[in-house]
Amino acid sequence: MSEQSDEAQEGRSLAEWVTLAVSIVVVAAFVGAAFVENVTRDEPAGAPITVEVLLEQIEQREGSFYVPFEVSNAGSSPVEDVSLLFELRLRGQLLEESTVLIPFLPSNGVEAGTVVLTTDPARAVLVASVQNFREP
Amino acid sequence: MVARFMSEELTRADWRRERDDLLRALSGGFLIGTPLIYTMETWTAGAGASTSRVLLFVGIAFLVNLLFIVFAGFRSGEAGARRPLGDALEATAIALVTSGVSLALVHQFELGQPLNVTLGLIAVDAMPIAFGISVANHLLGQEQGRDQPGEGERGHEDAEREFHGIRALLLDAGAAFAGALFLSFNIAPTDEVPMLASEIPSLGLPLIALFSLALSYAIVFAAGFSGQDRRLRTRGPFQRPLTETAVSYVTALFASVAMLLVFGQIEVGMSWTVVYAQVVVLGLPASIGAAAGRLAV
Repeated sequence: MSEQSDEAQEGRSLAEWVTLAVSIVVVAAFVGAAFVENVTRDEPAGAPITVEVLLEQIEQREGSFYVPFEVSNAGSSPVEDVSLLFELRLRGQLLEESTVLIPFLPSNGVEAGTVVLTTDPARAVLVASVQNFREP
Repeated sequence: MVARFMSEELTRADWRRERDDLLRALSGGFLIGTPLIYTMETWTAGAGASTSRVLLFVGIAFLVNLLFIVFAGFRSGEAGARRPLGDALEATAIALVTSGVSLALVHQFELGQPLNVTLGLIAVDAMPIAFGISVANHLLGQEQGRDQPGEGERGHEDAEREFHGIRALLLDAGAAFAGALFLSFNIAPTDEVPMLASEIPSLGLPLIALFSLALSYAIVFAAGFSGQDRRLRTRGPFQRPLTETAVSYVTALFASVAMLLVFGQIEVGMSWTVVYAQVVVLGLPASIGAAAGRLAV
């Protein structure tokens, strides 16, 4: 940025040089970070979306069981409308099921959520799976 | 000795000028860019942006800045910039920093967040902010030539002398209220306000309030926009910069409460913490609008 004065017409002042130098560093750091992120991205093969149930963090509140989970997108592109299915089974018999829709999951992103069940998951087997999603 | 003193004075003047330029650029960026900071679609677009798209956003911001600076100049009254590449680069850098600060304030960054998501968020919101930085001086003008007013301005200044005390306060409050409505009316009814209010941690809210006050002060009294000198000359118990900034912020908060009530975002009987959070969240764009409104009168 330069002030339009006769004096400034002669060249940049020290203050202007400092501002320009800091600006160059900021833009270069941003662009450099984008390149480095792109080059070092570790993208696994196969289905990139996984859901993990955090069984150790289950809480019981007013007769319901709050089960936290994390869904991750390890792929290089974002996904939308990720449909998750949680099934609570005991000896193959379905006790309870619940579905969760994640509207948006960025690339390399993780979203946390909680599924609420009426049956204690500790007494059965809780299976979480990704049903489908859209690519924007 | 005299030469050295003059040189130091010149250097100090250079730094002051540069500080004013930066503040003006930041203020313009916030003025134009804030509504988009409060738009969740831009967060989604940023979080899902590929590297090439991130670079494209930054490139577009730089290019538009460059074109604007070449043809319209970086300041009011400028036919064109003498150093357009450097000016455009500085505008782009300021936009990136402003975007990052704004998104951090509204808690869109998280620890452990992937780098590409952070970069995408910053890049998308940097675009409108960059445009705001470019056009800042053309929207609100710069404090050039205010020392030698024309005939019309002399008449205006005579009229100003009549506006002091309570009349000046009412005029300011009215202008601040109108400005607050202007900038935040389209934000108040959106889902983003309750969403941000619930996402931002309790300690983040006073930070937003302080930032709103600082930005409001900078826009009106420090950035050197047209109207600053006039505001500093206006007399009255509430016409001191700090007092006026505080009164203006309170006015912006009242405007926020009114808008949130009208759009049903807050209701009587609702938890005060929920109301407080929503008012402070909407108070940021409202206070920026209030500052712009006060410059306009």
